[in-house]
Amino acid sequence: MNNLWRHQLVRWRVPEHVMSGSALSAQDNLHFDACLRCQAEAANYRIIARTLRSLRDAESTAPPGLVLRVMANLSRPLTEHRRGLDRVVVFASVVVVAAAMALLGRHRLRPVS
Amino acid sequence: MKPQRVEQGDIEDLVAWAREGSSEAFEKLVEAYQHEVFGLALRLVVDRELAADVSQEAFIRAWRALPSFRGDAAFSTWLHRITVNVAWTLKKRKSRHAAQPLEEAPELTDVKHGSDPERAAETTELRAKLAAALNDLNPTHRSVVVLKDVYGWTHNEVAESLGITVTAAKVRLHRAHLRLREQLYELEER
Repeated sequence: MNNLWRHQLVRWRVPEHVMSGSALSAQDNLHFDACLRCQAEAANYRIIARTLRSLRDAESTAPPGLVLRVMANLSRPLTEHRRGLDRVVVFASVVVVAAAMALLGRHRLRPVS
Repeated sequence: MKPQRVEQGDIEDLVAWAREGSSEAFEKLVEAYQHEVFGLALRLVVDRELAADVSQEAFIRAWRALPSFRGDAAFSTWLHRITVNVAWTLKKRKSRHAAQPLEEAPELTDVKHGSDPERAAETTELRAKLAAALNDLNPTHRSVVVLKDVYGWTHNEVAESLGITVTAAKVRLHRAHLRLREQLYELEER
């Protein structure tokens, strides 16, 4: 494998090597140790990794009243359940109305004896 | 307002009481985790109003699911998983029903300032750039980065939570890293 190909391969593997700790092969390591561009690339990713980790420490403040809203809604049905129930109610209503109309229609069509 | 700090032992007791149906104990848990859950939701959906809805729904689902919580994972991990699932559901629902407005970077402030003001300023600036670049990623890529790189989840946990294979999670992560690097250093060169 020529140097350019090895360089491209290592450069491709550097993000996961730095960000996820995946190991480089012995040959990759040989190239990495001798290649300043790959080392610079790794340094960039180390900064990204460190900064991303630090985002977790960034404080975000929940909106006021969230606790009250949660506690007030603990006994209500979940959104999907409620939507599901709504659909069932609508479907049942349609069925009842359709059945009523069908019965009414049959009653009207029945010949007078 | 700073997130309330509660000792781990207290959390375990509160979870145990809440599992037995104590809403007072659950209220304490909501107070303790509201900022953390909201922060995760905000990172995932990049919309404060939607993040508030996600947080509310996540806590309500957690309350319903508490009897099945066995303590195999930490309570916070379990709560984070619920938050991620709710974030996906509500985000998808929102994008189905409305055109997306231009999203703004979440307003997050530094907790750690460090002793060197110059370094702190550089860190803050870099963090702001990275947060903006993160928000520019598409939602599927952003989610894997937030969960893996910001919150330290494993590839398996990310894949399981997002309903994708581990390979797919790794591929998305790799593409997201390349994109972040490209965006970050493009930004710095300007």
